[in-house]
Amino acid sequence: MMRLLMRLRRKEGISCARVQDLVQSYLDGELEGPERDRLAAHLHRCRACGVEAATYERIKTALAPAPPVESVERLQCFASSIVDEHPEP
Amino acid sequence: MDDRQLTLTGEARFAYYVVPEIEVMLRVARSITGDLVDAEDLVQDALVRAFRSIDSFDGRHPRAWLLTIVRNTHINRNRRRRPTLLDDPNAPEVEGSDGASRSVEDDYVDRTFDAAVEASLRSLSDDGRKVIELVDLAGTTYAEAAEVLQIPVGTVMSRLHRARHKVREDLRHSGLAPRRFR
Repeated sequence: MMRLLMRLRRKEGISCARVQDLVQSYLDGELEGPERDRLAAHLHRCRACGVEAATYERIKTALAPAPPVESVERLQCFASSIVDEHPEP
Repeated sequence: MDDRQLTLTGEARFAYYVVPEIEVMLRVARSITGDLVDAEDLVQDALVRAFRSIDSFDGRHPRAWLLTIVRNTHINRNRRRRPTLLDDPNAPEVEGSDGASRSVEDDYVDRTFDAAVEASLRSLSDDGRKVIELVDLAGTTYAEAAEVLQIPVGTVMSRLHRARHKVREDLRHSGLAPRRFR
């Protein structure tokens, strides 16, 4: 089983160590071409790397939570009021 | 500044460059202040500053320009306040925005995870925070972040990855993320 896994990973042409180095760039959309495809395939097959990628993806999501819509709308109204009150910046 | 931008009035330039970025400004402000109400106040002040200086803005990287204004406004506000009002790790966490049907346990785990990430973010070095603000909160590419920070793309990448790795390790120490396999 182990040999089969090793063979599969070699066939993908990317090692777990390399995936660990690249996984953040991959999640940021900064990888392109065959390397991106190889990494995606690896994440599909390798549970350990898949968990690592999922962890970083969750961190990325938690780092940038969407603010409440009402807050954004209040600020958009405020922006309009600045323009109305000060027509000449 | 291109010809089209030169023909725009200050008001039009404000509407064109600034208003679409309000949500991003609020995300970053909330990350800086750790409190939604403070963040709204901060963005209001930053919007006034942006409006006043819109005529001198060259039109390049409006998002980065606005985030710099948000940061500088925050620094100036803190100078006017007592220093003890700086980051409070015990500040109440900000609520999420999704209303999907989820269990109480899921919500609790997510809030705990998000609060731990937020606390870790505030413990990062200034360099680490800046790249996270640009890439994760503002959604810039590595190349854009490099241009804004005037550093090589490789440096953006290494600072960003190091910062996220630190967050990941903080989560692991809190039992909120698995151990790395290698």
